[in-house]
Amino acid sequence: MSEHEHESDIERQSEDRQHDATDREVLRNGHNEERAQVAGESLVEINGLTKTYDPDGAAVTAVEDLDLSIGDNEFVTVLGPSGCGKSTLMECIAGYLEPTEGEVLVEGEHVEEPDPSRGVVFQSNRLFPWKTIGQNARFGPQMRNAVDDERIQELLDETGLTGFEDSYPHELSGGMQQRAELVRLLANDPAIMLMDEPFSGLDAMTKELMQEMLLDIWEQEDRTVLFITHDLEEAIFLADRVVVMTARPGEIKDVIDVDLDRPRDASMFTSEAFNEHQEHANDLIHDEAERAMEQKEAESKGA
Amino acid sequence: MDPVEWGKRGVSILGLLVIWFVVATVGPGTLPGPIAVAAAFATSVQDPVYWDAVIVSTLRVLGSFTVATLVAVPLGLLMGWGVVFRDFTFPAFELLRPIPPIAWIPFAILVLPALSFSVLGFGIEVSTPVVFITFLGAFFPVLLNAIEGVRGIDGEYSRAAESLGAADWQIFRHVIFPGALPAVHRGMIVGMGLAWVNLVAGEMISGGGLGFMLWTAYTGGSYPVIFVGMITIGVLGYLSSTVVRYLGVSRLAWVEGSTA
Repeated sequence: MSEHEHESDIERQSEDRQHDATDREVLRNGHNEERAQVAGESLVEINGLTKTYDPDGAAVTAVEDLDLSIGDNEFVTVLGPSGCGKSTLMECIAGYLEPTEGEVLVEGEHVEEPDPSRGVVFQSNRLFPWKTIGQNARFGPQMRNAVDDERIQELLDETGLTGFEDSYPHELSGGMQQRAELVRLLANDPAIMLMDEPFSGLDAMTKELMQEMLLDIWEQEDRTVLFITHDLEEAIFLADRVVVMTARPGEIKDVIDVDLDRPRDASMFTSEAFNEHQEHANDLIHDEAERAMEQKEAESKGA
Repeated sequence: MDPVEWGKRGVSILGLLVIWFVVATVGPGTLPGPIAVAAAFATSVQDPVYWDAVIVSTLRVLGSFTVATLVAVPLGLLMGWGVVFRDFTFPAFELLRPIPPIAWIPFAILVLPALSFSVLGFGIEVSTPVVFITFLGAFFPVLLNAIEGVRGIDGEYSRAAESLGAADWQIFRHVIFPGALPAVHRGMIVGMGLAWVNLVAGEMISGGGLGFMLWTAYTGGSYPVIFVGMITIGVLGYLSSTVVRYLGVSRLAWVEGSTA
């Protein structure tokens, strides 16, 4: 397990963050006792992941030799320019894609196919339009004949969707649809939530509210989240760690430890610490965004 | 539906009657006008033979349509869902589809045996050739629409279901079937119309029902009765399509902008 994870795990545990080494040690031990079953190992372990696409003879390497581990209860955001292989990384963890080389382990097991323990939220809303909000929310547990109505109700309450159980998705606003999708995912009680730019289609205000709500839920429920975004502020605001990716082939350029206090709220966007992180991330991402743009231009010329 | 909508429909039917009246008045004397046909209708509705024809034809359409839907929907869904299954089956259906219903009639009459059985003491005779031709009319639109309905479902829904823990058969039941339903419904509306078209063609040659009544009126030269037959078929076709439309709409409340 990398040093980063320990640090960020501890930061989450600690309401009043301390940099004192002794305090850290104490917290770490406390944490390990709580999570005895995963003590000493991370939830997700990615080793030397390479994914090459070869649609028409011209091989494109989306992700190259990527190593990453994600700790239990950690909130990791992946920030990168468009087309850098962020989604490929996510799909390999979700089990939709098979790595060309390397391996993805979740809870020590090789990822081979999609599994309800790895819940996915897609970029555009994927609620089933033919099912009501209530039916969508129950979908995962229903597949296993294990619907817990109280739990569903609790989630609907938490996300302000009570009273909309009988509505169809198209009758709700984009933000509500996104919340309903979150409920559907959480009802399945996944070990890790894989979110691929889930808020990118929302307006700025709704997006901010959704981010706060996601953090609320995450803090209450002790979830592990891998959140993909190309929005720099979003990446920092949400994360314990921001993984900055390079332009294609996607590699990890750097990892930023975000030591902002939790719980977080929108007022932090203007804080000095936030701005420092933002500048740092901006420096990292700028060149990569430029490279990604050049790649895209070269491709469209070639096409 | 509000009165304005009903009014519009009334105007549509009324317009047809006016045009008919004008054409019959100024046109050749062989074309009976609405009044002569109305008189023939008044006679027909008192004649049990007319009602026999109506009932026989309606039952044939309902039976054939039901069987066609029950066969075509699962078949079409599977053909749309499984690429391999589609490759193995689709070309055969595409070869059979363009054959017009009339071209099937000699085959149907010569090859298909008539069925007779009794239900609750009622002797029932099924004219298999007619039922088969009617079946074909409903079958292909439902089949093709079911296939297209499945292919039109965004693959991301299946992926989402998979990651939520759905097994293949659950994906079929919760994603493929409901997702294709609007297209299946459109196919059923078209199929119901074509079932009537094929039924009449079959009955004219093979016998029984409104088609045969129409044909007898033609050979007997009773022009108003020809029109009675035509109008009856038109009304029954319209009614049955409307029933299918409404049945579907009540189940498809989720479709954006769906109206009754």
